[in-house]
Amino acid sequence: MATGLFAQKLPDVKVEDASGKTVGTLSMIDGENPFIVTFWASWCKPCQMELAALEEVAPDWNGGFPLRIFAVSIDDSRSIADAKALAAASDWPVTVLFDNKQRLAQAFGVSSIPQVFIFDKDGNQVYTHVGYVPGSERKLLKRLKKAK
Amino acid sequence: MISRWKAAVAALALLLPVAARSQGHLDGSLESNTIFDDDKESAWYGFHSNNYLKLDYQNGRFGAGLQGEWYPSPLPGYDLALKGIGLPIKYVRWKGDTWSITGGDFYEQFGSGLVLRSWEDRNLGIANSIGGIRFTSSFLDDALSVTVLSGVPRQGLGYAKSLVSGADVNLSLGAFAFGASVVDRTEWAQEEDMSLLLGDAAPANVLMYSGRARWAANGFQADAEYVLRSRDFTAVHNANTGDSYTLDGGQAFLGNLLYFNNKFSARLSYRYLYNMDFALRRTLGTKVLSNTLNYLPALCKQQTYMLACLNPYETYSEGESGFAGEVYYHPVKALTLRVGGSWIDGLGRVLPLRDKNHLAYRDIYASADYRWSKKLKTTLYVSIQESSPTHGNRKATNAQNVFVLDGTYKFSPDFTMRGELQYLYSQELTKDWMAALLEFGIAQDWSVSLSDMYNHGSTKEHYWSVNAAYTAPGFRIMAGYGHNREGMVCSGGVCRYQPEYKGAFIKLQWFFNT
Repeated sequence: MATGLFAQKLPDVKVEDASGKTVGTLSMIDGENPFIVTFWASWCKPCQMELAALEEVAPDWNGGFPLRIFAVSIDDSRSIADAKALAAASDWPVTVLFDNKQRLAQAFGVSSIPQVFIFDKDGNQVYTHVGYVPGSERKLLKRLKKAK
Repeated sequence: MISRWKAAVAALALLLPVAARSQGHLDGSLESNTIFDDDKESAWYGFHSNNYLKLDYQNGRFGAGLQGEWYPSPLPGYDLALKGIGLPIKYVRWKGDTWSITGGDFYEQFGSGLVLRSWEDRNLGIANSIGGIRFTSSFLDDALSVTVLSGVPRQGLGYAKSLVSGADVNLSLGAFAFGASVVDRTEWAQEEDMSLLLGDAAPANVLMYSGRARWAANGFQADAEYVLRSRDFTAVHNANTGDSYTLDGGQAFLGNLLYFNNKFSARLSYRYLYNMDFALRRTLGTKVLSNTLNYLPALCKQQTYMLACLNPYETYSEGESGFAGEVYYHPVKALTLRVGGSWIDGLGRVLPLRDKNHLAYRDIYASADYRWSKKLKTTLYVSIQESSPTHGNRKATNAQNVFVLDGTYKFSPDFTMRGELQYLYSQELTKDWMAALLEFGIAQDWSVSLSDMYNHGSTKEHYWSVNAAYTAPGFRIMAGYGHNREGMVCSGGVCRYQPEYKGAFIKLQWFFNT
C-alpha cells in the first residue's frame, strides 16, 4: 500500500449527485473498505465500455467486502443532461456523481478518460491507470481486493 | 521563458524535500505528445511536441502546485505562440472549514460557463487559467456559496493585457437552487485598429451578468440560465460592401428539461445566443480558442464515430437559436435504445439578408446496443446530418447520412476484438466515404488498432492509422503511424482545426503517485 511521499490523498472537492445535490468527495471514505473512483463522460465510448464491463463482473465479486465504485462524470453544461439520462437508464453497479465544472478531475490531474483510481479505506490512492483495455476490469477488481 | 523553467525546477526541488519531511502528499503527472511528420511536402514536416509536468502538494489545509509546459514546436493546429518553455500554472491555497483562498493561477467556472469558463483541455489546446486571487466561502451547511475572483487571464505561456474580475453566488433551497454571476473584463491596452474601424473608442471593459434557477423533484429536473452582455466591438457583415463595425450588446438563454427513471430517460434543451463572444484581445485576427473566456459548446450531440464527426457543427456565437433532445430506453438488460436530434437556426447576421433566419444545423440519430451473449455485443448507429456552411446566413445546406455497425467479441478474458464498419452517403462536399476499424485488447494491458477512412466519392484519398497502447499502473504509452485528415478536432462541443499530416506519433502519460 502506498503511503508517504507519493500517496495522493482523496481531495476534498464538492461534486453533485443525479438530483443536483452537493456531495463532498470525502463522504466516499467509510474508514473500513477500499473503493474505486472512475472518471467517464457521455461522449466517451471506452468509458462506457469499461462501466458495462464492470456491470458484467460485479455479480462475481467475492472480495469479502462491499464493492463500491464511484463513477464521476466530467460532462459539462453541454452534455451533463445526457450523462444523467444515460446513467439513469443503465444498470452500472456504481454510484454516479457529476463533476460538471471538472474541479475533481483537475484535483486528480485527469487529462484523459477513462482514468481509474483505487483508494484504501483511509482515502489514500493506491492505484491508477488511464484508458480501457477489454478484460482489464478483472485485474482492477483483483487490485481492489489487495487494497483491503 | 527560461527563467520560468528554472523557477519550476527550483519549486520542484523545494517541494520534494518539504513533502518528504512533513509527510504531506505530493502527486504529479507527466504527459508528452509528440509527432513526426515525415512528408517533406508538408508544411508541418518535422518534429512537434507538447509536454506537461504537473505537481500538486497538499499538507493539511495548505496546498501548492505548479504546471510546467514545454513546446519545442507545438503540435499542428495548436497556437504557435505557445512555442517555448514556461511555468503557466503556480499557486498556493489555504482551506478553512467553510472557506478557501487561492493565490496564483487557477481555473473557475460560473454557472454553465456562458459568462465564465476558465479550464484546460490539452486535446484542444485550451488553457485559459486566471492568475490572481480567488476567495470562496460557504454558509448554512453549504446551502449558500460565494466565489469572488480577480486576475489576469493566461495567453500562450504568459498573460494577456487584461484583467478579469467576477463574483458568483449560489443558493440551494430544497428542490430549488438559484444562482447569479457577474464578470468584468477590462482590457489594459486599447487596440488602436479597433478604434479606427469603429470610428470611436472601443469600451475598455465588457460586463457579463447571469441569473439561473434549477428545480428537481420526482425524477424531473429543469434548469434555466439567462445572460446579458454589455456593448462590445461587433462586426456588421455585408455581403455586398464587406464588414463594418459597431458597438452592440449580447444575450443568451439556456434551458434544460430532464426526466429519468431506471428504464427510460429523456432530455430537451433550448439555447438562444446573440452576440456572445467573450474573447480576449479584440484586435482582428487574434481571437484563438485559448483566449476565449466563456463556454459556447455546440448544442447538438458530439459524435464519436469517425465518419459521423467528419463535419462537426461549431457554435455560431454571433447568433443562433435551437433545440436538442435525446431519449434513452432500456427495456431489457441486454438492450439499450437511444434516439436524439437537434435543430439549430442561425440568426441571419449578414446584410442584406439580415434577420432572415435559415437552418444552421439539424441532425437526427438512433442507436441500438444489444448484448447477444457474454461474448458478443453489437451497436447499430444511424446519423442523418444537415448543415449550412454559412451558419444559416444562406439557405444552401449540405446533407450526409452515416451508418455504423460496431461489434465486440470476447474470445477470452485476455483477448477481445472490436470492429467498426462505417459508411457515409452524401451528394455534397466530398461525397461518399467508407471506414473500418479493428481493435484488439490483449492480455488486459495491450491494445492494438488499425483503421482506414477512404473517400471514394471525389478525392479517392485514404486516411489510415496503426496504433498500439500499453497500460500499466500509473503509466500509459501509445504510439502509432498514419495519415491524418485535415479537419476539426472536437472535445466537449468545442473544436480545433487540425491540419493534415502524415507520420508517427507517441503519447506518454506517467502518474508518479502510485
